[in-house]
Amino acid sequence: MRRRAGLALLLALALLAAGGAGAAEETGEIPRVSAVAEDFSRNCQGCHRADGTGACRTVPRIRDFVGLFTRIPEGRDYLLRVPGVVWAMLDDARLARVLNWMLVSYSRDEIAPDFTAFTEEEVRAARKRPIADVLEVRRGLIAELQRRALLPPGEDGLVSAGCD
Amino acid sequence: MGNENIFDRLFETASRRIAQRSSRRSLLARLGTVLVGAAVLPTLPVDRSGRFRKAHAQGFAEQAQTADDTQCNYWRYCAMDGYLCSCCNGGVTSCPPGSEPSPTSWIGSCLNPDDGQVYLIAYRDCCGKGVCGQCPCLSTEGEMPVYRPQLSNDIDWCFGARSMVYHCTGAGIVGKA
Repeated sequence: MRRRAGLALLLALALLAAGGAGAAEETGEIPRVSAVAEDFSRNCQGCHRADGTGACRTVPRIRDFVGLFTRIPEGRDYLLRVPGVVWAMLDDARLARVLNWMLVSYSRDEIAPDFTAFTEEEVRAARKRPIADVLEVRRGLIAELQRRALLPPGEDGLVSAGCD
Repeated sequence: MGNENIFDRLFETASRRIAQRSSRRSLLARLGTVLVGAAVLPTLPVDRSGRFRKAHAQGFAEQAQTADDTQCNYWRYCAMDGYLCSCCNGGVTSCPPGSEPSPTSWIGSCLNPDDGQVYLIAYRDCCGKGVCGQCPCLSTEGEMPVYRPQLSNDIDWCFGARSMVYHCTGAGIVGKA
């Protein structure tokens, strides 16, 4: 119950922060980013991009996608042990917070209904077990998502429609 | 023993006076306050931006200016490593004709000396055209070695673009830190 309340709070915070830094420079209004959004900017956004679309064939997109991983047990584990997460220059508590924020900010509709927010302890334990072969593990997860019809064939978050 | 040292007597008088006026409990209480204070102080919430602001203010920002983006000391270039797009027929946030912006960039932060604010800056490479070669700049504020690639400016940030050929680098604002 407490976890659910925590998730609701995160959701509210994410909604507040949403819309954040986009075409701010052109409009002349430069927003102040929240602490958690700044952690995302400094550690994740460079590759996954501010809009979460990633880069074709190079960086997986997170927008409308990353939440799918919470729908299979191995996927939750993957999100905690993927190299970019494990090696981020953030302590366990901030890392847990930015992961939860990322999920609700970029992929709320894909999150499993019974999802419970990542905790600091969970992050700490997972960081001790980084994934060795990230591409192979990811291929397996994508195949599983497709087998469960959660993902259409040909869609893997790396080579999507719109890739040129 | 009549030859008692004057210092001994003075010290005895003083310590007896202190002993009569104060209790050992009050000493313990005060000592306790100091000890607890010393333990709690570092855990109190701190202004995160201050850490960066201080670091920035002592470095690049001392000589930075906000008027000319074709100079290496333009405030947004505090972690610039490359050729300025502003000197290559592009702008601080636009790529020169014939090159395309990389979808990826590395994110640093710089202090704007005009308003004293720290801004998150996206250093974005323009790619797909031979190297520009104009206005080479190298600043390393907040930058990390290449084994921290997401915070390093030594690497070619053209990955994700159609071509890995590097042309120049711009500096867009992400937001206020």
